[in-house]
Amino acid sequence: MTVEPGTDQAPTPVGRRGFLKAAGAVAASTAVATAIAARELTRPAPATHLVARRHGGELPGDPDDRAWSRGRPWAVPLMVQNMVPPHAPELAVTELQVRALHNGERIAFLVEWEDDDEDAVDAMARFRDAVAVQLPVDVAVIPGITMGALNQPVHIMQWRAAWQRDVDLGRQGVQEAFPNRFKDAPPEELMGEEAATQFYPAVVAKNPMARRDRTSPVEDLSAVGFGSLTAQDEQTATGRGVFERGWHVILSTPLAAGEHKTSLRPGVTTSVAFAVWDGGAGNRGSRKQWSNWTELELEG
Amino acid sequence: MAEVFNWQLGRDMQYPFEAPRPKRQIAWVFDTNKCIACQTCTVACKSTWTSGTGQEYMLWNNVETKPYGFFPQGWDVQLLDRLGVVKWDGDQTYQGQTIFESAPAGERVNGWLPMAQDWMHPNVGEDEPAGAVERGTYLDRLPHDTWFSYLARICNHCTYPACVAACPRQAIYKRPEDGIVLVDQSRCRGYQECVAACPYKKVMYNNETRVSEKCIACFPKIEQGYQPQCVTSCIGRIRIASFISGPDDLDPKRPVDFLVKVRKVALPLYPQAGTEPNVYYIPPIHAPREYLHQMFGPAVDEAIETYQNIKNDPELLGLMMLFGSTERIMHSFSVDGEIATGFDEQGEELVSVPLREPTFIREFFDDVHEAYLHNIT
Ligand code: SF4
Ligand code: SF4
Repeated sequence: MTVEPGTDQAPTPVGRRGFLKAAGAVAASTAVATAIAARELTRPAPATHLVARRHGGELPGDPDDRAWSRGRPWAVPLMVQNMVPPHAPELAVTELQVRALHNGERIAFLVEWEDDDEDAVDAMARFRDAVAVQLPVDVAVIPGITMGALNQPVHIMQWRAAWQRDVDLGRQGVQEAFPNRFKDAPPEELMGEEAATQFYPAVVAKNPMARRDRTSPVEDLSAVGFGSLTAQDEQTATGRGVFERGWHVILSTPLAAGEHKTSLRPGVTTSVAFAVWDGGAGNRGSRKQWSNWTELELEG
Repeated sequence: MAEVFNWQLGRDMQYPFEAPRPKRQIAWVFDTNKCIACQTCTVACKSTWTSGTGQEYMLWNNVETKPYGFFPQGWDVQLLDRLGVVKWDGDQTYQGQTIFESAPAGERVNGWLPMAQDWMHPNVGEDEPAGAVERGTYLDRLPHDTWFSYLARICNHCTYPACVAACPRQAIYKRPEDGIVLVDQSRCRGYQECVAACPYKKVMYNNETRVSEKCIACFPKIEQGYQPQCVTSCIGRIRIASFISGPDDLDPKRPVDFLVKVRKVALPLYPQAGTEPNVYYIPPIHAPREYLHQMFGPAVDEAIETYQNIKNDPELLGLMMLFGSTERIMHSFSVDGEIATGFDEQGEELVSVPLREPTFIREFFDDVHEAYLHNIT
């Protein structure tokens, strides 16, 4: 992984063994403590963990909203996921800046990272930028970093740039990915929407990837370990991502989000982890960069 | 990694997990010598399964002209490039590495992901001969000096599928009841790992539904005892689909066992990949042997010799005559005198055909029209 010298919070390489150990421990590792100590010399009132500030009224839905400046940015170092193959050959995103706000009913994360290119098209051999926030279902437990484990389920919210386009511009498909393609009359023109559904197997199978009526760019999922990621029956996550010399993405969930989801409350301290994908670098699925668990406190 | 036995390689090989063989395995035999590249199979498949938006360039069945035809572009050249020159110990054991054994660090399979433009020319190289045809050339010996040959392709419903091995979320599975390999359309999240992994490039990405799709072996037909659409529509009657026994079993009455294991005229395509494909090919007798060796392995010479001797081999001849004679799956066959008969699973007769069809030979010169005839039989 790349470590940028001179930054006040250089990502710390954690070996596989260390990582596994860390899965059961709070992120206050010696390495992080050292980084914090170093920073104390240069900055007043250091943040020691991610704090979700209490916010009166509606949580901001726009990454540009000034309300976000109340939340102190918390830098989250990333590393290549290399516990299970396939993995990305190199680190494409080194760090995230995260802020959080809650209003007693919902919590929203603003996740930001630098990226030169907006990759928002889902097509053959083209992948989209994305980010995910992972929370324990039982806030008192720190599940395995391995996307949870049996008896340690995690609640994951994933935002994808392609879904943002679906929401902003209407469902994107082959026409948008290949505007100059040759096409016959599509089945829906010949037989109407409903009958034409039979030509889209993933739609018939109710695969969320194939949704034609997407209203949120964020999907609620659950997992009990690598490879077990499954969409939640009840979708309650919302959000919005904006590209401006990098991504600025809001992901939001109710505090008590329902069965198989997180159950947060004001005043609680738990853990949160992040993953990010750079579509242009071929990132998708397990080819991603991820963070260790980091402490999250909800202001009372 | 687990150790599994791949009979086509004559040895154990590394595979990402234990993969017990299915209870039964559906398999195909294609006789490349009889294919006329009419693409009826391609159209039968396309109009049955892939006529939706997003499936424009999705051809679960395709027929390409070798050596310059590929779908997608360069698929087998890429494979050969990755695996290097094939080495066999005699005719028995593969000495090189499979796509699983040669996977680079951090990968499950040694694969590559075609770009969108690689899928854009399904008929590239069609009917293009390997070299220039000189004026006055005529073909008077085998193999031909100037040649091309047709290769009909579907998913091989491999015993050790690379697509299954590559999927990080177990969205692809091999059915224990018939060995058919399917992409679960509700679980796939569009990572395209399977597309990159399949050495035959037979998983394809649907740009509209954003998940991967592949040949389903017409499983609704197979479940009811019928052969798939590409088999039953074949004009050249080059295809048969039936069940193959495991490596330790053999039943000479089963059509695929007879062709693959008894007469050994039908061979796997690029067996060195290591997936143990279940489509078997009778190699084209007119193509250069070096080319065929890298494509079908070391048993090519023997296979062609047996095939060329077919007129003295009533059993083989009878079975070949049964190709394309019934829509039902033929579980066994027999040859009695001049008649070959195919049977269903219960042993009931499906169809009987003569070993030699009556022919009528016309005069070479047609007096009425005062013309020479090209085709006199
Ligand atoms: S041919 Fe490819 S898609 Fe078909 S089973 Fe084998 S590896 Fe999978
Ligand atoms: S239908 Fe048969 S003869 Fe025609 S191209 Fe397909 S395999 Fe070849």
